[in-house]
Amino acid sequence: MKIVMIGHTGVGKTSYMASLYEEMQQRVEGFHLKAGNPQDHPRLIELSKMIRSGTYPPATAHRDEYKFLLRYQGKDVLEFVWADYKGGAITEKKQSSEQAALLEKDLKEADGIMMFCDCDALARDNARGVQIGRMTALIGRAIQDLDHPFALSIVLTKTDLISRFEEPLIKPLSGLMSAINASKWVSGAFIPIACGIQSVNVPMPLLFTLHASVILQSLVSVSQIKHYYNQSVEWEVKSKGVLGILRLARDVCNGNPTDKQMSEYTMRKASEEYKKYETIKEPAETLAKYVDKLPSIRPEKNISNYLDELSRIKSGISVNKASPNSFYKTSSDPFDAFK
Amino acid sequence: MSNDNIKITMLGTTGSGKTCFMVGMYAVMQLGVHGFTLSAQDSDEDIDLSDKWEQLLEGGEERYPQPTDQTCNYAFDFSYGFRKLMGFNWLDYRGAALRDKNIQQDFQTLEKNLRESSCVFLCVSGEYLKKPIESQHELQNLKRQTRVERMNHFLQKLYNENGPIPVVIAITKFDLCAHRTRDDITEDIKKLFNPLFTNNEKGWLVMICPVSLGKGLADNMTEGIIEPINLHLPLSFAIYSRFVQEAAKGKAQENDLREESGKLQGKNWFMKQIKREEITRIDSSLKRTQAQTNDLQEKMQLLAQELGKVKMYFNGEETEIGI
Repeated sequence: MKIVMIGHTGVGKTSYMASLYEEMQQRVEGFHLKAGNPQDHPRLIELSKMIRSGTYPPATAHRDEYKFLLRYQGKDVLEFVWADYKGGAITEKKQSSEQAALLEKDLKEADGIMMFCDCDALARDNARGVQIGRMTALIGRAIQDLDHPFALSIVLTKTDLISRFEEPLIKPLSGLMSAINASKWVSGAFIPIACGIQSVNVPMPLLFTLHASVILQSLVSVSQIKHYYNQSVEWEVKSKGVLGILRLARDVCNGNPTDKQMSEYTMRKASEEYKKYETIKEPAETLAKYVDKLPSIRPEKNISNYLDELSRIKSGISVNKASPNSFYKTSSDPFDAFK
Repeated sequence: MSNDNIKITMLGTTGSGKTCFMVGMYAVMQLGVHGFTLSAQDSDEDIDLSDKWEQLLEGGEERYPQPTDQTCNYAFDFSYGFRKLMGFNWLDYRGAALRDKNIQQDFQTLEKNLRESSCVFLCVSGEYLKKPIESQHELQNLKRQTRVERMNHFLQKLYNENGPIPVVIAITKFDLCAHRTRDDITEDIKKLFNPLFTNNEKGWLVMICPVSLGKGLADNMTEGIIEPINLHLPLSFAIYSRFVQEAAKGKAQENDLREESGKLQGKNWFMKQIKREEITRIDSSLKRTQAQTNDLQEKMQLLAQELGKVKMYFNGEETEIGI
């Protein structure tokens, strides 16, 4: 899967990625991150140390691609590619800039997008500088044929530079919020973060962006289990009665697998799929609990609701237990999902 | 429904604010309005339009785009909840084309595009509507200044060739005439575009929509604050009208299929067996058409909510949005 970060120059995309990587070397709610390319590990750790001492990296000059592995309780859950762009790519024409053309391609292929907005600039009423319109158009064009769950994280960076969340910060994003609310597939959330001497909420954007994919994977798995299970039952029914005996005789004569064998085979497939499902069921449930703490974008909420929620998590989110009304409920038994 | 882009053509004389209208509409809808968004099909055009919008926001003597000196064709996607509802081409031509002779290429492009258009936007600047039209002489003068005569001529020609198409009369720079009442201005618009409002069963569906880049511009054109008003409504109407046409076609097709199916079902058992394949084919076509029509009606419902309070006329009579 692919994750793409989008945001203007200096918004803090690279700082975020390095900080996240370092923070997720320890388990966060059971999750941790491993670099696909061993050379990236020391580079990102070094970068993160610099950031923690207050030295921020220079602007990214071109597209960088990182491969990561998300692990849960020591087991592999998901491999993903993370594309980091220079901020200028969003305001360049693809005709003259290879970076802009690559960004557009990456956005179309993305399984999750993180849209970075400079909280400090928004608070100073500089919505134009944040390029919200341009980013909305790029994202809108990329996901217009979407047909599966998709997470869009609106990452509000540099929250340590503002004293509190006020209306001008959220208002320029209200059009985007309405499009998210109208969408069948896109789930969005505001995620305030800070990277630096004191980091805040750093793992949240990644975990939110990944949750849609993990949940999608578990849904696909459930549907496969259902498919194989139903097939197995059908073969079992066919093998019964006089007709079943006749079919058995025909299959034996022709050297074909019998109905009973087919039933056992498809049941085995269902069982294999169930084992796969079991490996992602728990991380999916944990992610669901975790993202429930975020100010998710919902039609029933207004700007003041978002401001309240953002204020509550400004200094960091602690996760204790899942809300009983979580949207992403997962069944303990996959077959329960069909009831 | 076809996936091809529909065409929208905008008519208006030089300085009527066509380009500003489009740039403003794009900027507003790019950010999203009640779940609807607009994006240029070519992302490089998105940058051009965003730059023009930036220039408008900056203010100063260079704030407004230069009069369009060549025909530009922009392609946009209109989406709801990020899902594309319709693609459309927008012809932004130089306003002077309304004065040109038939031999000039712009004029020919304009005529061709008009014939292929699903909706026509007629732009009249609010600066011509600051005071009421009080005499025939004033009316004729105004028609000449705003090139309304030419626009009416185009519409007549269009009607003769293709029949009526939905029309938006956009009163641009409405901030300049906002001191007048809605009814007064509507009356003047009716006088100017008289053929569209005559109750002659010609089937013109017309929307009158005041638009502006900002109320404060009336007092200070170069430094007044840009706060767009109603810029998304004309487009919503154009798309809505197109859906109405598509839905009507769908309904007609549904009726034909139902009639055909009824005839076949009425035949005796033997004939029904012979025609079984045909019956199945018609039934599945009917189901498909019904699903498409339902989908269209859902989309119309969304747009109707957006257009709720807009002033609209059919055959000269004020009417309400219907699904």
